[in-house]
Amino acid sequence: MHNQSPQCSAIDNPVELSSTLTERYLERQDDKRTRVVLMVSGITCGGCIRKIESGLLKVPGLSEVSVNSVSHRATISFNHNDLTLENITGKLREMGYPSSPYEPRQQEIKIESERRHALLGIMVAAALGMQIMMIATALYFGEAYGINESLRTMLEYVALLLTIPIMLFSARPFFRQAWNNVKNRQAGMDVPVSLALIAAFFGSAWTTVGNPGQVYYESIAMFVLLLLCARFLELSARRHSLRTVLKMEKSIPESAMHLVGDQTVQVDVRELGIGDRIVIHPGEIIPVDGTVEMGRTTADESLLTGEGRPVLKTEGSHVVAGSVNLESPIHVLVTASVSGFVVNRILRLAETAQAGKSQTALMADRIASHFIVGILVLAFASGVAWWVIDPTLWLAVVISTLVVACPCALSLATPATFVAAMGNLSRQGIVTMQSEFLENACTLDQVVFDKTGTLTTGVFELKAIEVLEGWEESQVLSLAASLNQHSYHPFAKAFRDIAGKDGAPEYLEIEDLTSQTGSGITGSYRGEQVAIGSSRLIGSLVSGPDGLLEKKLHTDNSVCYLAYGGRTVARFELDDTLREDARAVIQELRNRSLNLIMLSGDSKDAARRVAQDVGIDDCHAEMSPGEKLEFVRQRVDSGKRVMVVGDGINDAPMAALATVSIAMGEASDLTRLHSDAVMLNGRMTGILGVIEVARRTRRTIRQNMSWAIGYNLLAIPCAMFGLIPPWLAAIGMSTSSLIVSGNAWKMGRPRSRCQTEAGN
Amino acid sequence: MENGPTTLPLSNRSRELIARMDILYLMIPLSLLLIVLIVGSAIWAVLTGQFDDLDSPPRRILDDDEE
Repeated sequence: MHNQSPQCSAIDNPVELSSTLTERYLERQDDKRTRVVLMVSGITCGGCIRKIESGLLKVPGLSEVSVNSVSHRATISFNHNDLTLENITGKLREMGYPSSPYEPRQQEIKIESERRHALLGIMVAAALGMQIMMIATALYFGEAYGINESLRTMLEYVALLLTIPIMLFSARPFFRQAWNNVKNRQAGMDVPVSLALIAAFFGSAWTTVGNPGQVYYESIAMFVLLLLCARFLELSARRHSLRTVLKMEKSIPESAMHLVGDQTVQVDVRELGIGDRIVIHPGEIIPVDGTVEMGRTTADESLLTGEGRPVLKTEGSHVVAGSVNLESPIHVLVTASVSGFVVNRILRLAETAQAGKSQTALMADRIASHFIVGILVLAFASGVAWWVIDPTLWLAVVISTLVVACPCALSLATPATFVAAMGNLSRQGIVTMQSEFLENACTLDQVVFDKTGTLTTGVFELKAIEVLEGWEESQVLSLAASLNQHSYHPFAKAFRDIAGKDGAPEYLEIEDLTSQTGSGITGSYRGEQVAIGSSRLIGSLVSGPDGLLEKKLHTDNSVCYLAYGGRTVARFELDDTLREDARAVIQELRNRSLNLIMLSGDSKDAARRVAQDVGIDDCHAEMSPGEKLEFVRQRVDSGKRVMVVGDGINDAPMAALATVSIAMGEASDLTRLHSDAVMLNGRMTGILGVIEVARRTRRTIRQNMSWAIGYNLLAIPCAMFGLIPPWLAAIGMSTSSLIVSGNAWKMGRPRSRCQTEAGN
Repeated sequence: MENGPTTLPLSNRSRELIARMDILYLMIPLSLLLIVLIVGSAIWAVLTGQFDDLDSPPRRILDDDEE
């Protein structure tokens, strides 16, 4: 199948950049200077950055370089009369840093502009706020020591003037959000905030133009400033927890070396279609999801898995966009469109998670809107009451009441907590596919493990073969390998590996290949039925007495049989090893008094050995997928909360039924997995991480709720009784907001205890 | 100040001085100009990306020198 594909020498051919592509990345500044942003790979430390910067600056015609150590992007200005983009990328490659032109993506642009806007708002509010405070101090002392009437009027007008930009610019996000809420007939927390700001501003302005009353300019400035700061922190917390994910997106090159004939052309990744071939040089980031067509290398998938261990990639292996090709050039056949890339799937999952649509978050939203409506009513009522009691104070009381109420624990902190928790998990190599996942994972009764590929590594080795008289070992092996050539079953790889020991495996022509889920594979070879699988499957296919099948076994290994033409022709014994951290994790789960169960389709002996090794007492062997499903169904129906840990493929139905399911997968498998969460790094400690994070999430949300209830119950009545002046209300509300946002932000950090548990 | 504004221990002369701070009518409007400068430079700083990368520059001083 490879004779058509071009030779690897194509890699040495000069690189051509398609002109439209080049144009898109270059930013002309004037008739001499052009700016370009490059994604540079291979940067490991600050030293690299200095090397790149000083190395590039030696290139004549290149005027400016600046490399960002976090995003690994280089901004370069050069004279386009002397230099071309290829000169620069060529120089970088020479220095050992492959690079590709970079264009920021939509999401990133949005976040950056949000951040800039927030910063601008804060700056304006802070700079003007300081002056307003100073004037407020003057007015305060003027009140105390006596003040010239005209001076007071002037100070008030100046404060009014300074407050206008705050209202028009800094406070705009609140007004815009509030307007959206009103339009959609929702009650968001920006509604009372905006009302308070407007009331305070126009009340003060009314006083300033010569009517009796008080001015609240300093309260406005302070409230806007502090609230913007709290929002900025919340934005940073979200950004921080999405950083892992964003890093993924940033790292995918925008361009790829498209192989056309034996030439390579640099094209936009988005222009590539399924079935196109591209070349990836060592050191480069793989820009697509695909299968290796030619070449053999190792790849670093740590971007997705958090695991730095290189993964071997040979012909037929899947590679994922964002991983780094480490050793030698490979040709890759593109197998997915850009939106179907694993990385982009993870990104979308993270975005959905960020929307915070889980049960708890939805409930928090509902409560928050009731709360806000309540506040509006209370503020109105107390305003009316104070109008009657003391007309000079009604405005102050209304402002205080509107300002002091803090629904942030509901509106801001709960979704932020979930986002932070998911960010925390993704740093541990766990991708959550379902927003309810964390809520469900915090109260569990039972954990059901699949054996193969979950407690064990799932990498099988053939330990022994017994062949029917008259058959050759090589014959049965090539039959077995051919039957298994497209199978995802862990056994399959063992057979394929043997067949491929001396070069590429030569598969026999098997027709009607059918996978009998959970028990084996059948097909026909030269008109005879062939099958490989469990004793149950083979037993149903063979007729009459069968020596190999009925032979008493004394082995701890997993066993499978090969049948040909109604007779068992071979028996294979395979074995895999326990995951190194399985025992420690099981022990830790037992300490948490969880009921642990192991289900296996394997023989009783093999299953019992593994169960004893890891320390699970409750072990069920020789189960068909249907029986496993029934087993989980019974548990769930009887009200137990069951977590299923499996491989996400063979046990998908069982996983769908469970309260929570986790798959031990590999990054390249993500698109095929069906499960609530996937552990991409293949470490079982992730289960502990999940339980830990789920419990901490629940605790954090409860803490925030308790704080919110306590604070609001105390502060709102005080404000209504006129005990809290507007400035104090502003401070109280912002502090409360900072407390709950900070608590949510804490979720994003890994906890050291969790790490040491994992280490043991 | 505990005793309230009316009993502040200020002489009549001080009161008069405070009341006659005419220079404020010039200084405060002038300070507005200053504020325009401050806000202008803050906006310039944000828009030119002075705050975009807050991680690399602090580390740069710890990097090894070239050669």
